[in-house]
Amino acid sequence: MSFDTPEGEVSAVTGLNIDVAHGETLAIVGESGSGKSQSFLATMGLLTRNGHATGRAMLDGKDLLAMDRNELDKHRGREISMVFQDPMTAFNPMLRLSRQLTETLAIHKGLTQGAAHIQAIEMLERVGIPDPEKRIATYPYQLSGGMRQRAMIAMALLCRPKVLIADEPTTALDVTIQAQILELFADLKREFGMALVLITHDLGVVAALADRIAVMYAGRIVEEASCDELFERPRHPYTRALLQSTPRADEDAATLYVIPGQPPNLQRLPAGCSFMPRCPSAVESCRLAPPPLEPVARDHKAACFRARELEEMV
Amino acid sequence: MNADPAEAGEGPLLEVSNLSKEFFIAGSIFGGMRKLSALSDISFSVTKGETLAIVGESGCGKSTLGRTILRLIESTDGQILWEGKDLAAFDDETLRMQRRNMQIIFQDPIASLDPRMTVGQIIGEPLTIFEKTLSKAERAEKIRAIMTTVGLTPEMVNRYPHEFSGGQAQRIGIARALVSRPDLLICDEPVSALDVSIQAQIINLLIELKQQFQLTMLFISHDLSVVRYIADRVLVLYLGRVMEIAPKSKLFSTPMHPYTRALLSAAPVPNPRLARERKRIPLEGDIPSPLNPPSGCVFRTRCPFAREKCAESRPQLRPLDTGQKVACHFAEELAQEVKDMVQ
Repeated sequence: MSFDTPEGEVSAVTGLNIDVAHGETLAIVGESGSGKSQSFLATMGLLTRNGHATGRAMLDGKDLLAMDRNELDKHRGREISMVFQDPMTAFNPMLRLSRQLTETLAIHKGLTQGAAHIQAIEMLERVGIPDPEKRIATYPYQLSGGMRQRAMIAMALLCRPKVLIADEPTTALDVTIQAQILELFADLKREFGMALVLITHDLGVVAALADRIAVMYAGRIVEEASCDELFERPRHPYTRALLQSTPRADEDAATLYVIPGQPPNLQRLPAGCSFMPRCPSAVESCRLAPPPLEPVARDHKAACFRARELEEMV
Repeated sequence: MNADPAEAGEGPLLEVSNLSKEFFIAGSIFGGMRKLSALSDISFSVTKGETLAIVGESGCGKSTLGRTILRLIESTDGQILWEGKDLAAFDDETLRMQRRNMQIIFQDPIASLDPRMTVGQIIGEPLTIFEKTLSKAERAEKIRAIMTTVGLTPEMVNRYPHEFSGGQAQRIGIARALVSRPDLLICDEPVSALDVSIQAQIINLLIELKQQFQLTMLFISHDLSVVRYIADRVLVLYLGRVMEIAPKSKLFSTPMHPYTRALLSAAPVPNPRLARERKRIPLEGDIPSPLNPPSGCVFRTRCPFAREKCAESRPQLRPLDTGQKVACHFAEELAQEVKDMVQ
């Protein structure tokens, strides 16, 4: 996936292969510029005009990237939907919730206004909005941040999608509200059985919720493993560094590990491994070509030439 | 908790007593102003060389508190003593000169830098105010030195803020704050806008600088995990009131206020087994509006342990045997109950 910029074409995501099964929670973890959000905006047809995505994004055997706008509209919002970091920008500020929530049901399910209204209220109640009959008549700005996020989740779930993509859904929220929303995701997942793609920069947020985690750096997946495996036996030096530099409220530690340097400029990526300039374990061969994402253990892949030999250093 | 002056060899650097700040905001279109109590009856002191973290969620007043101490916002009531002298009594010129001793860095590093000034001008600005007698060469040397200290290359001195990443911009903000050699550095969410890997760089830098410059710090943050690395003591705010003040080790091992406990149990833990197993203290609902705070204890509407008394009378901040101060009627009683629940 790439973007046209005044400085030429910039590749934002390269060779991304990822799948998510029915009912599975996949977390995509990375820092700014890692391509974690862009990858999934592309599958929803939401790239900005200067963005291009090539490849395939298959939803139950149908390629979302190959669809024209009309066809895509039949799927997004219905079979695959998305919630964003900032609900204020996802809602139309000028319209009452009722209009925005019932629209989805009218378009995708052909429900009458009355039936859609009832379903919308039920969904608001399901996501924990008190007094939903009253709240549905309000404008988005009249809700608190946490309530807005719940309302956006309700909107995304109205058509019972097979896949819900949540892009930093709790980043803008206070910590006690974040805990509420994460618990809500866990409940909804159990109840609706949808696949959940959770995009975040925060390893702490995904620890309780994810089944599988993919870590992205500079537009590539550098490591992918089941949740426990990734936290307990990280193989990629970036994943390890990220874990060691994440502050923890649950234990005392003298100092934080620091990843030296800056995330790479996507316009001037090194020829070899993108993480090499910051990697404590880099060797000469890391300069030559980007390491492929390869199996290193059961349910565990890493894109590092030294992943196997570094294993014992954990 | 007041520092023991005998032990420290001197009085506190900063002493805040009964500080309150009210804002009046426009009510309905039919007129009338509504009172918003951003801070109510805040008292604490900070000794020289200490880092006090001020923790709370949105609307708790933590940023207002930082700004009020600097007199960027005037308080409504209460007293702020700086080295024993009343800050409010300072005239404008004295206050201005006193500010070289108290500096602040902000959350949004790029927005807090003037886009039309070079890095050198930004960092050097405090010197033009506080050290007017410096020669050009001396000034340039001071700017170079502080840039190196905070991890910036002095060759960048003629660049503009937009050419820097968020992490570097925060280093510029730190350099600007430290160039006048302040005693007190107020850090207002200095790492919350940064990526994890950059956040760790800035946290470690602040810890280093604290030693090197013998800084006293007020570290304002919503994030207890960051606070755990940097603070000596922690003050927990909720809706403009102090819920608990405790030495860091006490706060994390035996928090005494139900809100502190809830905050700790809500903090994400990057450990799947622990994250799944640990029990949360559920906090229902939203933070109430500061325009209409609950009667009695302001936390009672979300407190899972609230009783009748909590609505009737406001708990005062009181010292416990454990060395912490807490504003909860039932802190001792609840301590065991909550412990059982969480473990």
